[in-house]
Amino acid sequence: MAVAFARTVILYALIIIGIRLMGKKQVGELEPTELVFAMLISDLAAVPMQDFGIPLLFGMVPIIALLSITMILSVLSLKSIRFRNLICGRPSVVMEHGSILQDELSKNRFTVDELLEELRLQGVTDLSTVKYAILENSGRLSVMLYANQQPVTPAQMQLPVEDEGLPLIIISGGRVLRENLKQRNLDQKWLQKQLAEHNQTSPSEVFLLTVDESGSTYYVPKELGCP
Amino acid sequence: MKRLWISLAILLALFLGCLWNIHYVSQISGQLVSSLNEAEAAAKSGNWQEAQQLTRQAQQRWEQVSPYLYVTQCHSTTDEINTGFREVLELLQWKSSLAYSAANGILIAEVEHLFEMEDLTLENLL
Repeated sequence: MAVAFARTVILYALIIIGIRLMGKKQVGELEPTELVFAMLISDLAAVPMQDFGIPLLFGMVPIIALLSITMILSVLSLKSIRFRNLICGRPSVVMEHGSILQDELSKNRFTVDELLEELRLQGVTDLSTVKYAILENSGRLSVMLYANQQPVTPAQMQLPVEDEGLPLIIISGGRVLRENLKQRNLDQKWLQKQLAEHNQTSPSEVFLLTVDESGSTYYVPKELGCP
Repeated sequence: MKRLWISLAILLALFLGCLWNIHYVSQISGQLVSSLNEAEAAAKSGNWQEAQQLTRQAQQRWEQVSPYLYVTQCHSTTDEINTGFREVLELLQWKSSLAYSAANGILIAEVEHLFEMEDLTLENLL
């Protein structure tokens, strides 16, 4: 049992390193090589975890080898477009100028119901408004509407809009993030003023406080009973 | 914070449980090996009745702990020890000195193997 426990800890650490090396991607957005890697390592790690009659190296060696192959393929895909197309495939145009390209749909084993579902998820109900619908390598559908069907932007209307910029978290879960405070050129005085404005005396009573580049704040108090 | 402590406590309990298991299995295998060695010495001096009695005592002890070992060990290992005890007792009845000695040696090795498998060594870890 102790051996199984120690092996689980070691293999878990190894998988975490592997996943971290794959980058900040969600499972639904994995490239084929990464998806295969993710599917295989879980199985490879599970076998020596459950059966300690099998040496740990039997799990570690394939995981390290898979990790290396995935990294090599990843670098080659980055360097060569041909190789990338071979390994990851190409995006497929499944709708063009409002009409469905049935050949492309069947090539990708994508049903018309799935296409309609994806379009509905993106708020499109009228197929004639779609200029292009592209099935990406990650399996997601990118939809481009005709220019006259796209939402109007303030720039098109020539309206002046104030850019609020990126909001930075100042208090998170009752703790002051001094680095962010400094980054916005704010000090403790400003923070005390903000707390007083919201009838609070201590940052520990605040769940979230953010401030954007224009100085606007967003405040959420801590709920009673929450740690 | 509570969840963190609970998780840490579970992890620690698991680890301590594992360590206790090593200690328990080591104790059991030590007792069994010692009884089986004594039985072999008795058989060598021609005292077959004492050898039979000591082996039977070891088998009884084994049967007491085997439900726990079935839960925590590979079933194939515990099954082999069960079979080994039956074989050794059968050979003791027939007072077959050479065959008994060989079977008892295998049984002792299997019982020792029980602890070796559990021991937290680099060999087992790798």
